Amino acid sequence: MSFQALARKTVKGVMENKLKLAVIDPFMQGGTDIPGKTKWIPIKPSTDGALVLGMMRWIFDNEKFDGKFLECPNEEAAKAIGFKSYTNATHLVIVDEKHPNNRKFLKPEDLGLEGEEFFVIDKKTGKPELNSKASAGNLLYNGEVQGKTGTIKVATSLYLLKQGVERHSIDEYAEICGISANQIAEIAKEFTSHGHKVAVDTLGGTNSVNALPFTVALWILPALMGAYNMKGGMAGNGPSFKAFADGPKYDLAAFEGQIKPSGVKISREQFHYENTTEYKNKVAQGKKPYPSKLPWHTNGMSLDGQAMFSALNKYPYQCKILVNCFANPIYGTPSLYQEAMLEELKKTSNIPLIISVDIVMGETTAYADYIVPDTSIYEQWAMVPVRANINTKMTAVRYPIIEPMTPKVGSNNQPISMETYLIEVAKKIGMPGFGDNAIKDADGKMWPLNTREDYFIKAIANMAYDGDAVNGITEEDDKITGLDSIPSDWQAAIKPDELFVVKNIIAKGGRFEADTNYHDGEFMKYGDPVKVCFYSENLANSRNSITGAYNEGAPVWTPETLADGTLVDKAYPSEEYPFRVCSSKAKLRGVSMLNNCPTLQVLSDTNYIEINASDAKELGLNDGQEVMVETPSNKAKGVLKVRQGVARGSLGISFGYGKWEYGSKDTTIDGKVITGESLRATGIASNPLALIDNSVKGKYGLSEVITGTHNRNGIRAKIVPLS
Amino acid sequence: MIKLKRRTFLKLSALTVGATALGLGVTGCSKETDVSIDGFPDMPETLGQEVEATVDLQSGEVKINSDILVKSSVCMGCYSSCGVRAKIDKKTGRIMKLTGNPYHPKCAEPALPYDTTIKESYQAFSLHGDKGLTHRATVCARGNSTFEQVYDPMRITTPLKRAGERGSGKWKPISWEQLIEETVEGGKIFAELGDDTVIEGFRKIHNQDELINPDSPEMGPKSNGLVWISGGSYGRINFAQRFVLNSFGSTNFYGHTGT
Ligand code: SF4
Repeated sequence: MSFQALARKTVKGVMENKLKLAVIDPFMQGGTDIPGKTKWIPIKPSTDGALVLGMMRWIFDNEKFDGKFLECPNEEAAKAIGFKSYTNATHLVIVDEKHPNNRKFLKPEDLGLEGEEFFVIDKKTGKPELNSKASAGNLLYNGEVQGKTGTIKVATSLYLLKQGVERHSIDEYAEICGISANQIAEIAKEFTSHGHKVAVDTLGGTNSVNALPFTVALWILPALMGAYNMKGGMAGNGPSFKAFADGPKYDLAAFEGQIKPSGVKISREQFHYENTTEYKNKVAQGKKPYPSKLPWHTNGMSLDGQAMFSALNKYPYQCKILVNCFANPIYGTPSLYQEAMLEELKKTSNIPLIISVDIVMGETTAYADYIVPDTSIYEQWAMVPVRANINTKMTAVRYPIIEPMTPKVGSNNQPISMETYLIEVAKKIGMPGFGDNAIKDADGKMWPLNTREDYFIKAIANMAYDGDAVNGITEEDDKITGLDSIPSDWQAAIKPDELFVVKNIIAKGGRFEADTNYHDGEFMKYGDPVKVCFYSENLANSRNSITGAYNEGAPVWTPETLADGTLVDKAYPSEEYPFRVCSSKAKLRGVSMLNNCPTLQVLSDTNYIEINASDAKELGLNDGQEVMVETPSNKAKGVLKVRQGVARGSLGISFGYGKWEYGSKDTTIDGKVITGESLRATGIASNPLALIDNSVKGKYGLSEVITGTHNRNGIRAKIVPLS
Repeated sequence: MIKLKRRTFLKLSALTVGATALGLGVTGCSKETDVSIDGFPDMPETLGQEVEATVDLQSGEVKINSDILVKSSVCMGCYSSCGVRAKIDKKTGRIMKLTGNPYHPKCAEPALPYDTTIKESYQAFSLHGDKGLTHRATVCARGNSTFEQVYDPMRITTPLKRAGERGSGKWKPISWEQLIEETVEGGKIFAELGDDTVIEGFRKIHNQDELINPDSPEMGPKSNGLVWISGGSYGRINFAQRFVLNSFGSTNFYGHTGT
């Protein structure tokens, strides 16, 4: 998300009275507060799902969804009435315990037919019809259809969604999230009173162990109004220019000898436990297959934190070489930095070799065996894709705008960096895709990959000629940007005639389509039609690998649980742990890498444990007091900030502070002590406070089983005064 | 830090009114104009920086300071990837300051039309034709400071190998050649610490023919023993992916999604 652009557009919209702004956050931050305009809705951490489902309850009770849109069972039907997305609201799901395909969508084979489609109850005939054939389907059908061998109980996706939503009343949802029923109704009313011109978004707030149903429900909200890909509604990121792809000039994607990786990811993601040998062996031996040793995250994606837990437990297999590059999982992953975890991390019998590529002694780098110095962001090449809130076509470019501070090495005289290291390793082993004859151009000619430029400048050439080629740089611009004197190996990386257009892109910091091109009539220009699923067959047919229970196919309110299903509130009752920690992004710190910037240290030297004034009063706590935050798994000292802008029962701890390495500690190099700078370690970090899941054997931080997301928001805690 | 007194600030802004050229930095104002105000204080060296260019407010003529280069880049202060322009001192090669890139739609609204020349783009920092108002390109306070990490005195520029147990904070510098040799070939690489364990390097782990866990063939080849953890999508992971996924043949490449 681009915060700058988002802030600018929001403030503009609010000041022109085109937009109403409500901030739903336990932790009110300056900057989101436009005086007199912002409505703050203090929600309890990790209860966002209850608010969204409460809104949906109101929408169903008052029939405020866009029924005409939802009835469209396919793309064409939706297009015909002016939309650019459709849903599976009318698609029939088998809800028949006795049927072998229970929990799955009704398919032609269930009716003795062929094909791969879905069924709806045709609104015209009242009979089952293929979703491609009908122009409108029955929205809330719940009944029987005639199957191959008898009747089958079915219900529509929307019916199942509504049934899940109706498990609680609006009052109950209000009770859970700490927002009054009236207010929930008011937000829902506002949300549904603008047709398809509504949008939702979320970011770090989803890091709680009931995040999945919340996130799914949140994305469904605008779909109930038909908002996807509509002007004024929901938009995806704009596309990028071809860079690292099989581009118009060079093929940077494929190379000879290329391997297609295979096997299960160590993070236990995107794979069903039921397909492992572990499961099959247990079943063959007549043992209960559940629980698995660690949870399997069937719907997880690129789970770096889970890969770390796997490595520490040597499960499902051993990590032999761990490379940490431009990352810091020890600081960034909830509960990874705790005594029990560190003991395992230190053993070479668990992870034999740890290599870290870093510019400074980061928290993770401090546990490496070898450190490869890297280039900083202003010394490296990068082609940066579009992030959310910008919907036009663009790719930005970083290039070495200053001479890298790392020494030059090897036969190609390259500064030490991630790329230089990988090229050298690959060449020494004789791995494909690096060294001489590694890259093919559009004419079939082979080029080497011996330097960073050999790769990245070709990527810019691809960008430059993607579609209509960009113009060449002017002679004057060439001179004033210093691009007239670039090193000869930059020039050697591409054909001479490509250099002038490439330089124009470098000079301008990327290639950007005009930002007036957001819309195509009433649609978002770059939104390809999407199908939004109210019921997920994939989710409904996957199981929790600890308990064996099936997951829900449509979102329902789900309290936080340990992996074995024990309620977190039962394991750690609120009488003992009355607070929930939530984290936010500090304005003057980065994700985890700006603690070494003197200006930011001066402008904002520390963070606090932020607490509501009424909570503080009740406990007799004062602003500025030193306290210990104790959670069931860890504790940490910090200073209290008492203010109104924190939800009752919440402890706000902003991210980016409370570091313990990053140059803050003394380091011994060759026996010489280099004194650390303590200013880099001020404040308190919330991740080490996060819960360990003791219901799982092995060292494992509390995570949501389906997606593997962590317990960052909602950490149960109490406060013990120290002064 | 130098605090600018309100009175001084007022005098400075008064100075720019009616001036023929508007500098992009504070010292530029006093240098480029011959307006003199009695008792006007000399600006401390640390507050003002030499300007990169001056723009004539009427004609729009841009005069570039040949001692300074302005180069475009992308900020990673919070992973939002705003476009920045860096002011670089030609003599020292150091970054002096960062501002927003007016061509970049995240930083200016509307962005400067792409065909505008770099020379003309300097006008977007001035008030000529109101360009400085319409195409004002900004970065946040974080974005202004990201270049300071480049010059961190604690920055690591030499390959290091641990010289005590993991996490002990003891290191020794090693040569580039030793770094490559030991991480590729492995062996008893910690023998000098009294640890005779044989560690497998990249060469041994790069193996598509043997299984990483012969009892569970679904886990895939031995190459999966390489686990690569990378930061968010910051525009150079494709290079690492080429190595890890498609050349080394490990499935274990991680961005930053779950944490
Ligand atoms: S300028 Fe600010 S908002 Fe933009 S990427 Fe940098 S830190 Fe983030």
